[in-house]
Amino acid sequence: MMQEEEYSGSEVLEALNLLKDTPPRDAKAVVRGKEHFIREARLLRENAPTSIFQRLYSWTSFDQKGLTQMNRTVSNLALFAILAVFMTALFGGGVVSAYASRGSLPGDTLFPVKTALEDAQVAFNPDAARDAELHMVFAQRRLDEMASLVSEGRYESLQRSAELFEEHIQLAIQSLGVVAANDPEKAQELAFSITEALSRYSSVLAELRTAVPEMARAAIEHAIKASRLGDDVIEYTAVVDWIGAGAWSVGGLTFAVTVETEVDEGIAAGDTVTVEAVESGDGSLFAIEIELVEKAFDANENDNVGLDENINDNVGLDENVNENEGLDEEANDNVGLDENVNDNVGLDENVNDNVGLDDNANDNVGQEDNTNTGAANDNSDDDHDDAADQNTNDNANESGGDDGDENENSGNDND
Amino acid sequence: MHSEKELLTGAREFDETILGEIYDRFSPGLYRYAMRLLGNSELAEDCVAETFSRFLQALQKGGGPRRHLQAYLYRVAHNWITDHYRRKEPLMTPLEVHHSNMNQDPGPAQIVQEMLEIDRVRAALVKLTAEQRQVIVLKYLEGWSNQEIARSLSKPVGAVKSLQHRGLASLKRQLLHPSEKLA
Repeated sequence: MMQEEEYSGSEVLEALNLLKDTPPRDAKAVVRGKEHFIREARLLRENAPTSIFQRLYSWTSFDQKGLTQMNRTVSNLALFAILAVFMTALFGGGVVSAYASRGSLPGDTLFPVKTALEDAQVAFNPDAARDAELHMVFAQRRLDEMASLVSEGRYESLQRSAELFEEHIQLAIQSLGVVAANDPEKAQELAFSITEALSRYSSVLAELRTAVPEMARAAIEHAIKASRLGDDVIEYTAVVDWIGAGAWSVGGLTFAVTVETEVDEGIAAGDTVTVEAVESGDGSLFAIEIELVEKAFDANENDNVGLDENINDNVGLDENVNENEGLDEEANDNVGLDENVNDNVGLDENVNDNVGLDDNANDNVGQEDNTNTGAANDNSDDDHDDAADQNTNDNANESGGDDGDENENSGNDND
Repeated sequence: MHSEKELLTGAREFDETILGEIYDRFSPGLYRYAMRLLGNSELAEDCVAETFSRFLQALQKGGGPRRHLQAYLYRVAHNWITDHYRRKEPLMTPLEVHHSNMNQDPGPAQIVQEMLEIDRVRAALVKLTAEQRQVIVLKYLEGWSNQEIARSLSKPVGAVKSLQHRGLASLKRQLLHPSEKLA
């Protein structure tokens, strides 16, 4: 056995060698993989990115993984089925309590019996298309239960219902994916009925949303989001106007933003974002996801060792730092109130090209070619006081001649 | 055989012949790469499928690589593998032992020992930075030359050597102190 202390350089290589041999790849898997890849490409090309078909096919891209997960789910469900039988026995009078559980709501003692029986129904059904239908039936039940909970004022159980509702819809769409892989025609038929059901659910939920107090809205919105899984999602890229509590204005449109919305970190007014949103029942826009496209104020750092090529290309109030060791070629290209720093050791070629109130520094050792240009530098009267630019090229030419360095600064306060 | 530029242009247009060529050209290497780091053929196939799927999805959104396709694909595969290990403990991964580089007729004790050692090396490798791991795996396991790696990572040979040096040092540290966290 290799003792821990014994690893030397060559032993590391020896240890690595243990990973060298891989068993040959299954030829069938290669063919399947390629076919799948081409099929997915075709579908992505042909289908609008937000239709339910694209979604279901994008799910099938995880075929193998999805199926393994399904198998795992199935074995879990088999356990549930046993549990259901056990619980039914526990609550006495088997059939009676199973029947009694039908009217139960989340939070009721008999509710787990109800869901366990549902799970058992799915587990013992081998047909994926039927699975999808069953899940939609159960989603409809969760929706009915949510309505009952609201009418009884039992808001605390709404969230759980919403989660189960979402789970069934996701499982239905997942099953649809399995059907699509084997029987595209049947899948299309199913997809239509699922889309139709989801749109019904969504309008019911929109009504429900107005009927619940503020504290219970998140749960309903969670369900609305789930019911929009098959809907057309609006994708909108624009600049953030303002960010308020519960709402954002992006490019003049107002989007409702809730705990359900996935928002990238660090977005501020002025940044460019892509909002994925759906129209709520009342016509308002509900943001599902807000993705940062471009910061108005960027700070970029490149930190490299080697023969690097770094490029920062920004629009805004930027602060860029390139720090390298080696034969580097760097470029900062900015528009705005920029602060750029290139700090290199080596044979460098640095370019800071800015328009604005810039503060640029190139600090190099070697045979360099540095250029700083800035609009505010084109100050013909050479008045140091009213130009805010400060460009510094600090080079040490070790090649012994002047011909190595070529620095160009136009502006004030240049060194 | 198309140039990388032609491949990327074709891919952006969803040209099926080009996409097929991309799959043929890069999937075997990606599979081996995943297999070495995951030690499970099913997972490795998942990784390859998901890598190509993410590539297509990125292309459809107008994203994806502008150049250096291979480096991009390896990065995506690498991210998938990293996520996989984040989801579960490395030792939980069922290992497939491939015996061709072992002594003939190894005893059960030796097989177990070797399995543990393989898993240890794999766990250490997973903790390197993406670039270090790529260089180490491409160089020592795929047998690429520094020039080939440099082209693939779009880095100069000097940088590859430096990554290789630091990668090996990190690997050594990892093998000695497996709990140490690297960048």
